[in-house]
Amino acid sequence: MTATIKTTNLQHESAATANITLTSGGNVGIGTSSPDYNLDVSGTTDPRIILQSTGTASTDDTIFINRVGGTTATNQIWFGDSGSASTGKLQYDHSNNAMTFHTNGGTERMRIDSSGNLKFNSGYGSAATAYGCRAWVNFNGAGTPSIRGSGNISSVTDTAVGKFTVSFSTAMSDLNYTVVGGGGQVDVTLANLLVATHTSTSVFYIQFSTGAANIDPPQAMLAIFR
Amino acid sequence: MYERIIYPTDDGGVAVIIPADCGLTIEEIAAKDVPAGKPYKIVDVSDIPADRTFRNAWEYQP
Repeated sequence: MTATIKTTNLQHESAATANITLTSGGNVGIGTSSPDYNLDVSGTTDPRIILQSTGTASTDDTIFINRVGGTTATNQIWFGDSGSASTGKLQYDHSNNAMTFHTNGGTERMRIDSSGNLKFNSGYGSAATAYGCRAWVNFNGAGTPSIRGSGNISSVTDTAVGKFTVSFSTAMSDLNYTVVGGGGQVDVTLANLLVATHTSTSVFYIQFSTGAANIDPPQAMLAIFR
Repeated sequence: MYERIIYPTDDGGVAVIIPADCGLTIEEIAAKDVPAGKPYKIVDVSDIPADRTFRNAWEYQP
């Protein structure tokens, strides 16, 4: 025996209007009597949906599942306003297995493709692959040499006048990286940057020279791209 | 960091390692960046001469 309760809305006894509305089409409205979607939550001030785990273990996650039936459609999260329902958008394209980010009218601005390449359009004209700076360092090579700032650098080794070895915290994937930068004594001498040797592991050797002699540059700046 | 790592170079000079703020201890940086087989010492930065006039003549004292 199946019991059926037929109703179109639920209303708390102290509420002036219905709290939850169920339409004949099966849409459910919370805070709206005319839900446009399967579940339509509406409110005047900061309506919120919360998915909260009360567990504190590392496995007590919260998961919002957004799933398509086949393998070619897209999952989307929209960010809308009164002018556009989806002026901002986060989208997963199952056809290309790509995550895309859209802003200002839904235009795609950034993409992580199926190979993990990050592509973005920031003044470039179209979304193109961005190549990351894998390491950088700004150091003083004169007097008592010191590092002002760095990323993915474990140390700078002073081996002689104008000669330094820079070691990476995390090694490059191969030898095919590029070193750019320079050094000099401010307003006095600009030094050439010579990469004498670079290795497949984590170290390359650099030399600052004016052509006639090596110098210790107070301003030495390097960036490594791959 | 206010410490430096020094080790002898193959040409009889001395190399001075300036550690970066990379999350590694100076001992870990020494183990990683001093060439294999080289002896090294961890010294205070004040022990390193600031006058580099004769930098290429510096020698490692064990």
